[in-house]
Amino acid sequence: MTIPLLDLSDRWFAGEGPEARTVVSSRCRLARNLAGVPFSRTAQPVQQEAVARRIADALSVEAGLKGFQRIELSEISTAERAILREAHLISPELERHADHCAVYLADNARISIMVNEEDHLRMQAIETGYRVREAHRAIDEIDSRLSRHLTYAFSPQLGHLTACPTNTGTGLRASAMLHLPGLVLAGRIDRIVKDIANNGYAVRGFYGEGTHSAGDLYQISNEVTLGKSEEEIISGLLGVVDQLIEHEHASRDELFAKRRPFIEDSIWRSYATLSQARLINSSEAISLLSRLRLGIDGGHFNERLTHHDLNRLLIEIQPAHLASRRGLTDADDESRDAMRAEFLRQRLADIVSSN
Amino acid sequence: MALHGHRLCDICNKARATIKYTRIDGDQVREMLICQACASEHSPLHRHSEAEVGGLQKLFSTLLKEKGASELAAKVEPTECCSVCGTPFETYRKTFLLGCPGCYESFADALTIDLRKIHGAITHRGKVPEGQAEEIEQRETIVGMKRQLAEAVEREDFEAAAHLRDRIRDMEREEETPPETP
Repeated sequence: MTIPLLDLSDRWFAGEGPEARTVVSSRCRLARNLAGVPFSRTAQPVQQEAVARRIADALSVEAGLKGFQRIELSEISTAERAILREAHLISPELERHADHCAVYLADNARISIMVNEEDHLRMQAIETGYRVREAHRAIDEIDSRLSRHLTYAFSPQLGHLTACPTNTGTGLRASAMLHLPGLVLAGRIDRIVKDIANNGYAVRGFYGEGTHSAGDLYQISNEVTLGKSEEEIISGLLGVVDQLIEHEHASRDELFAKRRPFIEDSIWRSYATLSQARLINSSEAISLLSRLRLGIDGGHFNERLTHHDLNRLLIEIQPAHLASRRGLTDADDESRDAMRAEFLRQRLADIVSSN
Repeated sequence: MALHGHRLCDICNKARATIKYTRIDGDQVREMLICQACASEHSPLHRHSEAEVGGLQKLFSTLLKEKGASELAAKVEPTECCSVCGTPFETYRKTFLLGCPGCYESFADALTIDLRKIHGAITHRGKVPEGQAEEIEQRETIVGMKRQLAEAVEREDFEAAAHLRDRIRDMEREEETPPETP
C-alpha cells in the first residue's frame, strides 16, 4: 500500500488563515471510549477488533461521515507509519501499537480519527492559521454524529471516561502552534512559558519537550478537561494565545526597530546556509527555517518564499520523509544529513526560481 | 463542651465541631455537630468537601450514612484490583493509565483526589453524548431532587425532606438495576 505522502498533509501546509504570521496551525482533539469495553491497552485483541468494527460501522452508517480514507496500521510498513507520524497524522503511541489500530482521514487529512490509540477514539481537526473554534466545530460535529451510533463510556458526574485521568470530562485538547522568534530573540520566552504553564496551560515544543524548542515553534494547549465546558476551555486558550500574539508582535517590532541589521543578518545567513550546506542535521535545519519564516513575515523574500513552502519543508526534512524520497527505509545519520542538505538546496532553488 | 469558646465534636468530644450533621431515620430527625475528622470517617465525601455547598455536605453525609459503615470503610482504601477489568491499582499508579471505564468506580477515592489535583474540579460541565441524553436527564433529576432535599433540610421542613429522600432512594435503586442484555 502506498500513501500519497504529500497530498495527505496538505491541510496545515497551506500557511494561510488569521494571524498566519504567528499562528501556524490550530488543532482540537477529542478522546472517546466505548462503554463496557476495557481501554485499548488493556483490551484483548478480540475486543480491540470489535471496537474497530463498531467504529467502522458507525462511520459507514452515518451519511455525513462518508468519504473517510481508512489506513490499517498493520497493513503498512514501519517507514510508512513513521511518515504518518512525522506529518502529525498519527501519534507516536499509534505508531508503536500497530495491531488493530487504524486511522481514518478525511478532508485532505484535516480530520483524522485514530482507532485503538490510548483511547478507543482519538479524533482531531487541524486548521491552518488561528482557527481554534473552527477546528472545534468540525470535530464536535463528527463526535455528535458518531455518538448516535456508539455508546460512549460516559458518567454524568465525570463526563467522558478516558484511559488517562488528564483527559477525563470533555476529553478535549485544544491547541495552537505558535511561531515565536521575537520572544525567543528578545530573551523573554522562558518567563512567558513559565507564566503560561502556571496558569494551567501546557507549552510544548513542536519538536521535543521542554522550554527550548527547535524552530521557535511552541504548542499551547489546555490542561484542564474537567469542570469546564468546551466553550470555556476554548475561550480560555484563546485568551492566552491572544496575549502571546500581542507580546510576539511587540517583540518583533522592537527587534526590527532597534536591531534591524542583526535580524536581517541572521535571516540572510540562515538562507545562505540552507541553500549551500552539504551536511545538515534536522535541529539545525529547523532553527534556520525559523529565521526564514521571520524573513517572510518581515517581507524580505518578496513573496518568493511563502509560509506554505516553509510548513512543507518542516515536514519534508524529517528522516522518514527524506528516506522514502530516495526509496530507502532507513539511513545512517551522516547520509541522512547529506540527503537533507541536498534536498534543501534543491527545494530552495526551485521555490525561489518558480515563485 | 467548649474549647476556647468553640463547641466540641458530638462524636469524639475532642476536636472542634465544624460540621452540622443531620440524620433522618424514618420520621426521626437528629442533629449533631461534629468535627472534620469524624465527618471524614463517616463519609468519604467529606474529605474533598471544602468546596461543596454546606447544605449538600449535610445531605451527603445523611445519605451515605445509610449505606452502612462496612461499605464506606471499603471505599476509603483503594481496592487492590479493579472489580471490572482486574487492573491492579499499582499499575495505574505506575503508568497513570486506567484499565477500563469501571476503574473510575473501583478506584473512586484515589481518582477523586487525582482528578481534583489535575483539573481542580470533579464535576463534568461539558457536552453530553446525544444517545445518552435521556439517561443523563434522569440523573439530572436525582441531582435536582438532592438539591431540593438539601434546601428542605435547610429550612427544617423535615416532612418534605423525608419524602424526597425516599424518592431519591427509589430512583437510585432503579438505576443500579442493570438493564437486561439482549
